[in-house]
Amino acid sequence: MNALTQYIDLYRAQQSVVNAHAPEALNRRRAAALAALEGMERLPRKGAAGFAAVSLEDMFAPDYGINIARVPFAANERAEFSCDVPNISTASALVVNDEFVPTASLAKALPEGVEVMSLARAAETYPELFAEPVEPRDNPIVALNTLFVQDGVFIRVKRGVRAERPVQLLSIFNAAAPLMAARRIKIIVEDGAQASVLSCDHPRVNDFDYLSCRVVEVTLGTNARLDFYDLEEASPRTARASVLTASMGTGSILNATGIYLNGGTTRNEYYAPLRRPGAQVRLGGMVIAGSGQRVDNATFITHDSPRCISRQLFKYALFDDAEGAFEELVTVCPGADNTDARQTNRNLLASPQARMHAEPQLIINCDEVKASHGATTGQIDEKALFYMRSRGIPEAEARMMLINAFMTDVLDHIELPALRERLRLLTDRRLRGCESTCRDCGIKTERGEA
Amino acid sequence: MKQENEPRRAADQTDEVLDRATSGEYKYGFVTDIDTDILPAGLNEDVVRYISRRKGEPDWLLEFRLKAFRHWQTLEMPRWAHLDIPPIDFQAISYYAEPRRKEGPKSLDEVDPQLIDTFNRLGIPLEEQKLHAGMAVDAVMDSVSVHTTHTEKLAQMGIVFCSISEAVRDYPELVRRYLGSVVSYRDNFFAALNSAVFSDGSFVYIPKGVRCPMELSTYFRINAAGTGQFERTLIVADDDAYVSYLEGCTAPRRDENQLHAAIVEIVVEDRAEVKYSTVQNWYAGDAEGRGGVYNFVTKRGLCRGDYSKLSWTQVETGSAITWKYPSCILKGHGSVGEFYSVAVTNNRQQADTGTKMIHIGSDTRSTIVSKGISAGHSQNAYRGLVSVAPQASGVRNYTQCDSLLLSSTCGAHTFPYIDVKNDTAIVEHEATTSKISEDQLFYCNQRGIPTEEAIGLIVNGYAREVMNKLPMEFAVEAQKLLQIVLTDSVG
Repeated sequence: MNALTQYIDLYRAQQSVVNAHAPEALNRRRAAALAALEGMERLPRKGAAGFAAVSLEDMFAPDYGINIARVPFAANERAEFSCDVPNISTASALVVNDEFVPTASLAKALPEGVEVMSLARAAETYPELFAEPVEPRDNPIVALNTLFVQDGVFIRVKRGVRAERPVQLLSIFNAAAPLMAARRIKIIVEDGAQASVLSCDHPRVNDFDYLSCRVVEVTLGTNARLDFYDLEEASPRTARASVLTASMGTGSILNATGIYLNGGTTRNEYYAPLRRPGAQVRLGGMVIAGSGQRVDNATFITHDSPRCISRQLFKYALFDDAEGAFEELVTVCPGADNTDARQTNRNLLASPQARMHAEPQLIINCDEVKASHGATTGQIDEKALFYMRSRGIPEAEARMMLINAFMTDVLDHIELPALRERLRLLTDRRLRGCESTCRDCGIKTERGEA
Repeated sequence: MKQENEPRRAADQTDEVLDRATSGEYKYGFVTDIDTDILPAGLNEDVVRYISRRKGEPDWLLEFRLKAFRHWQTLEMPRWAHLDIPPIDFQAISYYAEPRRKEGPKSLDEVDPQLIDTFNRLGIPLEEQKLHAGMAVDAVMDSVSVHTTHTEKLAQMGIVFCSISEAVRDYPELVRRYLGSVVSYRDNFFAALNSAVFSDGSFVYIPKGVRCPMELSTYFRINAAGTGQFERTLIVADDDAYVSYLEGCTAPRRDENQLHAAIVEIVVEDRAEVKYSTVQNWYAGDAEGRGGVYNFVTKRGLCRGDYSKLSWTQVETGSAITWKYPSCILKGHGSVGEFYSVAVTNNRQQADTGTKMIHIGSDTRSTIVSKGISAGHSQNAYRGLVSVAPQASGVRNYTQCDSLLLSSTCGAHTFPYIDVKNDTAIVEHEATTSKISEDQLFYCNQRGIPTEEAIGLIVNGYAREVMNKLPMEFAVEAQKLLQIVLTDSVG
């Protein structure tokens, strides 16, 4: 039995239980997802096309439990959990496993025109928003998520509303056994609206093997803008397979930055088809990975309309026997005139055992195009290191400074100053080998209060 | 009104220029009326045995062919390239065609005069006058090497330059030692096919310390209809040797597609250097994409010795479909690999070409410069791998691949794979895609250079970096070719 059949069999056997605990709007899509999975021979392994560092098969193979009956776990989130980005005024919510847990202050903190609620509730309240299937339908992560998703987060910013205060989602695992959670975040930014969302994956003290199978579904209206910051600072025992998929309106802007500081095996996929004129997507990624960690980012950007802009900047610093991969595919369709597509991938190998694999690919079928990509893999500049040491900076310190400097332009794309500073600090601490501990952001959950 | 018309006229002119460029005639599209022995179409063990018997091969070579054939039968044609390849019926192809002759020609006088005429029309006079041009030529027509010049002169220096059949006969130990040592018959679908049915090709051996005094050259020509060409080239440069080898290819115009599946193997020993240049001008099919050669080639060199160097230069203008990745396995300490390529596609041509630089030894270096030019409805892809093995320290690679788009209906694609397993490696990859900019054209126009000439100027300038790497004689030919395919009517 391979990993895939394990999930198909589980679903077939437990279909009624899955459906009984989820709204109809989510249940309706499961049949198509099941068909998509049945059409696959197996999940992609390491070495399959586009999977250079990570094997989905191996990620999904362990016998994780799935809490389909939604048994509540005894937990006191307040005691166990707090966030790592203080000094930032956010409207926060918790995601425990796949369940939405609002904080006490959430309702108060939300500005007019911004809704943050449980995905299950949203699916009951606005079933019409869940009519369309999530693309790409034949993606194994999307299909597995669709098969088991029961809850998650729903964020909607109404037409013309500029949400100044970011929405923060804190995802943790809480279980008494190894667990797989089908997490879903649905973000809708209506015409002319603006929002920023910060999603943090965090570890817990008592740790099991966890797998987060996550789909972030973004819908942007005309001239809408979303800044999405995705911080992964989980435990090495938490694997993650994530897909961010965006539907972009005319002139809309998506700015998504993924920061990997700690975690287990991670695969992030980004799909941004630009089908309306003037849409812009900027993807950023920063990976600092060490012993045993495997991080794989894959981006798929399709320019299918004139005057769209795409920018990608991904930087990796790999230590110990970390393995990184970056696959990007930019496709420019006929008629997508005045496309401007740039990709940059820079990698630093800081140990003899570290491995990096890059595939920056361009498919261009149109001549009014500016497209370029650059990829480099190298190491810390010895001359710069020497310069610093000759001025009395210890070698270890000088290395930190240089790696920090190397990463700085990814962090520069973060528009929230408090978050940017915090991430600089976290990066610095990560490089110094400190476990960054979450302390004192004092989030109170409703359940914690009770 | 007038102002509105001006830019349109400029645009029209550009289109017209490109239109004319796309209608460049293929001047090598003649068929030579030479008696040819063609084996009936189809492929089975008997055909493999027949080819081997016909060539009077020793048993080990027949075994090699049969192993390859049996392995080939277990394979399916790969589909991963960015190419739209119509199904190929491998049983509809004749695997052996030999220009008929009574006895092997002892001197040039005995070679079929029409054959000589063919090569003269190709611009390859086989006569001794070539000596002064400093080039030795091996001419391969259909499947058989018909004449090699200057063998004696080269033999004085210990250089072996002959057809591979002769080499099997005269230097069996050398051939046995190196054949299949770089490209195994298990390597890929077309390598297996070639290993089973390869008919002829060139063999070059440069002994220790010898610098080959002239450029060695092979001209390949497919002449007979309904045949495939499966030649095999094996070049061995022993310690401290140097050789520059040129390869040219043409084929007649035919409405059907012809298959060309060749293997080139190169072994470079300590401090030796091999320069391999190709001007590939197989028939590319007509403007609607009828006919043309399918060029599925496996080319690979092994830099086995320390400080050895292998340099590939290719100008790809022909073939309906090109699928080739001349590669370097950089095994020796401090060995160097180079790849310079200009790939031009026009009309309905498709190309998926690039290189592999496999760094195994320490302090190995590689440079990749690839220039793609796409016009018409063609598809042009660069696909390249740079891999650095864990033990290969101090590796340096620089890759630059640029694409130039000359029409809105063509495609230019880039598929690099970078795989680094050593932390001391420095690997750089850069790619750009653009069209000829209005600014550049305007600048030229403004200085009195007509649009036609300006496009020619820009395209030639764009390709110069690669053209400069070609040997003199070839550079001239390649420039002309570029002009025929693209810029002749341009300037």
